[in-house]
Amino acid sequence: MVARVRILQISIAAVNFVIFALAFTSIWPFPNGDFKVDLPSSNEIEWTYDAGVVHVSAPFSIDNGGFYDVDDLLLTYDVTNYSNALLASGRIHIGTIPAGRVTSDTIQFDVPILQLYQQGFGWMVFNDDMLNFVVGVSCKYTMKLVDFEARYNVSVPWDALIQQAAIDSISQSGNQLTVNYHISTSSIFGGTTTLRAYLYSGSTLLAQDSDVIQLGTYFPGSMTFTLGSALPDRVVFQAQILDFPFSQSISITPGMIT
Amino acid sequence: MWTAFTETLRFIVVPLVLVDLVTSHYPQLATAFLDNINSYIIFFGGMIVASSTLETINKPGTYKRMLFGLTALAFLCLWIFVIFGGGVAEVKFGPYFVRFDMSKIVYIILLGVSLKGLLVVSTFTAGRRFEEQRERKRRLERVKARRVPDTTVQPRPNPHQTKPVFMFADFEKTAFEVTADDLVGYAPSPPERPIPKGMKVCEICGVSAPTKDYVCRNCGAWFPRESVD
Repeated sequence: MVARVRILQISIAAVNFVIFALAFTSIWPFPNGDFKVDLPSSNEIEWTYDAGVVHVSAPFSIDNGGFYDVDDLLLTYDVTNYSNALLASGRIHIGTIPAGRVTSDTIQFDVPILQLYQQGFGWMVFNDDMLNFVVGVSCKYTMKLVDFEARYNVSVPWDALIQQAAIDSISQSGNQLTVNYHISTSSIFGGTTTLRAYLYSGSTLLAQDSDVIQLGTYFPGSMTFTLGSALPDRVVFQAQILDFPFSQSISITPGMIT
Repeated sequence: MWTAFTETLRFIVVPLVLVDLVTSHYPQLATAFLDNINSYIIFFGGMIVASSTLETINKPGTYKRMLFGLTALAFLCLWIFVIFGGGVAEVKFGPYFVRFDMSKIVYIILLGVSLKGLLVVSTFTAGRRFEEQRERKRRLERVKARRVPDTTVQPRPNPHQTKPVFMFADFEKTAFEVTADDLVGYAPSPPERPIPKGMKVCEICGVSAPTKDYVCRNCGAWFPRESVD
């Protein structure tokens, strides 16, 4: 009788010890930092442009320094703009990370900016925006007994592809009018294009000129026009910046001309 | 009283302090019962204290003791479930949101804790058998005591009985040989281990205990009243 009670006590103690060890080894890696998920920060995201599509790549790494394998590891991402329009969404199934291993990969997705522009959603071409990345990681741990889920919300500023075209100064010397201007385009652009400028007085075209501008940077330039007796009241800049036609009209007041 | 005191410390006071420490250091932590966790701890902890106290008050082998033992265990399971928030914890800080679902681990912990129920039942059956044996022994002794005449009391002479029923003088004398004990298979039992002074042995689990104890500290069995100093 004594032996039976003793054996029962020892058995229960052994089972509880195993359960305690299981619970401890399941929980410990998380507060101790042995299980780490390095999701991309805003300065690690790379942007490139090609044929009307913005390619985005963001690196991440997952370090399984725990006691058990990580199973069913799934990485999801949703990208929305400031007005909550979904730009991209996807899932990356990584699978299993054995204990003590680190896995690194890249989240890659495309934003079909030209297609959006053609569909009438051209805001992001000419205006700055704020892209909201929601990156989620879900996995199972400890022989699939523990479900882990993490979400990371990061806002990344989006610079307009064609940011600004503006007149810096206008000077007149006799019948020569020199317009100093600048044009800013997004750094994901490259190459050159031709910028045309038209001087109007009302609806009458007074003069026109063109200049080759550098894309992907702040480009300052100047154009010189030969005028008759009438002074212009506006200048219209036009350019084909890669896949996007650009046109901007700027009013000229008499006070601007020096 | 001692049980009530220790169980209050274990299941009410210490958990309340720990929960206060956790919630003050990690205000981002959210679990299913965290909003009213103190009330839950006091309620379920109080039920554990009451059940455990009532369990120890009753003798081993009684249904009351088993009932209160199992009740304490049930409340202990609920207490653990509440403390762990059902196994689901969420942490939200800044742009990060983390969710742990360890409900399966919690269920395994509850299973492990429930195994103590086997011990309660086992103690009940062992205590019951012991009580039955003691009762049987007591009954036998009572019967024996009834059969053996008390020599100190002189029997009253029966006026109607002229001759005693048994007279040694009536027996026949027959020669017989006394056989040695070891020849008939008797082996003397090994000498009992001396019990230290001031100690006694629990008849349920065999663990030594001070003579002043009413209850075995190992298995919770009651000691016979006569064994308590």
